[in-house]
Amino acid sequence: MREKLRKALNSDLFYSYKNNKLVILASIVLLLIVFSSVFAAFIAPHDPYNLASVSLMDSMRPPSWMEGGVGKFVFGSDLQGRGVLSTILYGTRISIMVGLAAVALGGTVGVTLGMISGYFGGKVDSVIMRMADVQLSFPTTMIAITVMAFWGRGILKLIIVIGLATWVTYARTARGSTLSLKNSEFIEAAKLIGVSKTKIIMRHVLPNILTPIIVIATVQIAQVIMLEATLSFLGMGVPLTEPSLGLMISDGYKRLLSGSWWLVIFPGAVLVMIVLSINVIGDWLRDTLNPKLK
Amino acid sequence: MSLLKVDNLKKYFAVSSGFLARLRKKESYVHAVNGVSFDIKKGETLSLVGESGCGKSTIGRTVLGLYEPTAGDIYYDGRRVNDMSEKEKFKLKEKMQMIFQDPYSSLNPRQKVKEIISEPIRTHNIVSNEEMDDYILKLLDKVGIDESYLNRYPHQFSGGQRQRIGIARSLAVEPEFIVADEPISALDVSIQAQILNLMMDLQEEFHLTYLFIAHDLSVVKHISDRVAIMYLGKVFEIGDKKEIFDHPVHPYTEALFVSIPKLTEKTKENFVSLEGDVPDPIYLPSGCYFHSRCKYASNICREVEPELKEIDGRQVACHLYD
Amino acid sequence: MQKEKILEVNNLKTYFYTREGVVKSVNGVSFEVNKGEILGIVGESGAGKSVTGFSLLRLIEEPGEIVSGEVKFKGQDLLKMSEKEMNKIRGNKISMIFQDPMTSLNPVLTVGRQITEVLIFHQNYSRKDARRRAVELLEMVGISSPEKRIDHYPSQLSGGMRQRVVIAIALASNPEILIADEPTTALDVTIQAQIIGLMKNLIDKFNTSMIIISHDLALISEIADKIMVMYAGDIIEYGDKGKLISEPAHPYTQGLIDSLPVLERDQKRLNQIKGLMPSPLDLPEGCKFKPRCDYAGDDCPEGTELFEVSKAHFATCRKAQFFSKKLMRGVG
Repeated sequence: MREKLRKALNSDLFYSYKNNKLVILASIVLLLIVFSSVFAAFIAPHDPYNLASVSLMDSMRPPSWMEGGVGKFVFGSDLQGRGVLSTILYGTRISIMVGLAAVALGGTVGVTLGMISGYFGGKVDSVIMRMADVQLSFPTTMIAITVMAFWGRGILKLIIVIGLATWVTYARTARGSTLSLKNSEFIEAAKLIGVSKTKIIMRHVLPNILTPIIVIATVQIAQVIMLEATLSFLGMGVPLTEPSLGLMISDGYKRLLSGSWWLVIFPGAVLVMIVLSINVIGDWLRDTLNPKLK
Repeated sequence: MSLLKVDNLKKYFAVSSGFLARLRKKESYVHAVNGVSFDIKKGETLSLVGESGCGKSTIGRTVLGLYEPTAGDIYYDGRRVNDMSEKEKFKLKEKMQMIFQDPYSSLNPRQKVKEIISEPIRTHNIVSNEEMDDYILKLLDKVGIDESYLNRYPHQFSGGQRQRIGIARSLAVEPEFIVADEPISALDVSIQAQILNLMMDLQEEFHLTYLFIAHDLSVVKHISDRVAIMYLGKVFEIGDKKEIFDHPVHPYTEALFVSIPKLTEKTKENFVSLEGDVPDPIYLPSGCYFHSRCKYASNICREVEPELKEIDGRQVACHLYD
Repeated sequence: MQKEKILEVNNLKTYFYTREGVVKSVNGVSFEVNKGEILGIVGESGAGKSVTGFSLLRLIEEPGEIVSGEVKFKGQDLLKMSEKEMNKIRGNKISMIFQDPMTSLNPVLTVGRQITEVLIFHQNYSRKDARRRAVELLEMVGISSPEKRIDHYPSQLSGGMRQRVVIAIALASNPEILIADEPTTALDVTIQAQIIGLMKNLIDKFNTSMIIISHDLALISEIADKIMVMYAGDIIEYGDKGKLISEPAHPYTQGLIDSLPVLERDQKRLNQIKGLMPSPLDLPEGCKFKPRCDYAGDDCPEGTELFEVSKAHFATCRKAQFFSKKLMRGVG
């Protein structure tokens, strides 16, 4: 264990991390946001889903440092009297969960199909890649909106739809890497030993194409969180009872003209910080892990 | 009896052509191997020698089943490989193995030495799991890799050490026949001799039969029993090493010998042995494939393809000896 | 007759500052090249031979650095020049040929464009004259129907032809020194013979000096006047080709010669040098070859200084001569 830790601390990745202040900052910001949203139940001033802790008396309070603000609601409160800070913490948790789950689903489907497509080639390849082409000719957001409009709101539905709407990116990268790998001598060696095709793909192809996939997945988390926010903003994402960042922004937006800016600015800022820091980390990963991939 | 027999083997590769060409059913092919026959006796080493594009690596890979032959037959131990069932073909993989050219791409960079070598053992159930570690250590010892390196990754080794690990992997299934595809051409000079010597030692110890592929005649001298000189997917000259090295007969073999750099105290006067380039294997020349570069070429060479004939104790395909 | 000294390198050191430590790729080498002379640098990968070649033209990039030394070209120290002055030397007075012709040619420009560019930039040719001269150059390097080939792209040429084009570009500016780094390693033997023959002819014709870098001692022995053998950043033997081949002084040089397969001789096993090249980060003190050397002992020379073995023949060790196997070697 200690050996492994020593190795990790000595790796090129950690070395490049140590020397990149922007990435350190981004990861600290991201870590803080993720940590506080995961432990929202302990950190948040109150539970916005618990009706007992919400009182209409506290409706539409401005941030605490402004006139009319109270200490209980640092970032102000919304129409139902829920604290913006508490809602952000809980909302971020949903956004991040949807992001991770959708990326996991899209990544698994995409990488699997991409590897199959690249390794076997021929008709299988044609069918899979034509499917990808067709899907790519529609904007991802449009596909998601259309499906969600018919299917209705729901977190699980959202994960499935976003996951399946984004598999193509992974599939293309996985296919490309597989193609350049499948004629390497170590794959030939495995074939000559008689290793089954499934095992060749799992043991020899997959571990060697993971690097670009990890880079893409990192950047995709940010994009998926944005997509989730977009859908929720348009009222086709998470249910009203479990507001994510997107839904909060959408709610606040309706009251922006009445001067309640805090309902939009704070969740908006958190969303921007999440997306920005993930993108910074993703770019750094791409440059460090694979300088050829641009 | 011969262990491996290759009969009139041909292998063409389709060149990916444009959409329009495919529509007109006009596909072009790289003619990598154009009718090659030879056999290898048990315990013997046959070397295929020729410059890039002569089809020597393609033959090695087709023999092992990595490529389907376009035409022709391969017999192992008297049995036609194409007649074998899938199960028999899988069994055959225990007998035929390969040593690769590039020690950097022939080992999976994400696997440890132990995993690399245990894969063939597990796949063919060579030994039980309890005996596995002992067996791997014995193999590593045979190829001269220290047992403390068992848990290292390929990038922690030098080219020569990687090549040794690759050799251990191919020996793991206790094969009889090994195709060695330019096993030393990517290595440093001082390491080349080490690997060649190792391969000869292993051949003696395990009674291996080698099909040794090389672009350099000087390399194959020590390891071969017989040599085949190839050009554009054809065998030009094949016979006992001694005969061919003592006096090459085919003009191309002769040119290959002259081209090899030789250690000398005096500066060489005349370098060029052969003008021009190898013709494009998509559009094969008429007659003898070598006529465009041959200083002895006459009319018959441009029109009629020469057959392999027995001359001076070896087989030669050249009109000079009609 | 006193020959004109055209390049003099003194105590050149090029280090690479990597995370794991300092790699002393070139660790204090000194040599000289006379006009019209061919110097061959021989060594295995990691010996520092290519880095030496690149250092002469100051083509060392981060994390590498030329730490000290002098590279005197006709008396001027190239290491002290401004980058602007250096640009007038690089590719003009001193040209370089690389191993892989595909990477040294620009794939999206025609052959003609790439040659005329050099002529226009370094020699102030007009566009029209440059094209005429380019055709001449292509003809000179043995490319058939040069008027047609001049408009071809590199991908339309074979490997041998590409290397001929590279030579044409290198010679377009009438350089005084040509540095060739493994110029034929990517080529087949018969093509290698063509290219080496071509370079030798052109060098002789224009009385150009050449530094040819290769791992192949036999190839170098066929073309060079002087040979320099490098091992782990040091020159371990340097001198007149004839002497170095016939009476190698350093055990490593002898090992290289012995491990070459000799066509004319019957022998079952090849002579081999035992062991591996040491890690560049963990070099032994003193003689770096010592761990692999058959003759190593307490009486080994302390430093890595070259001393004169005989006239025009230097080495850091002469043990090979005491244990000479020359009679068994049969050098041709």
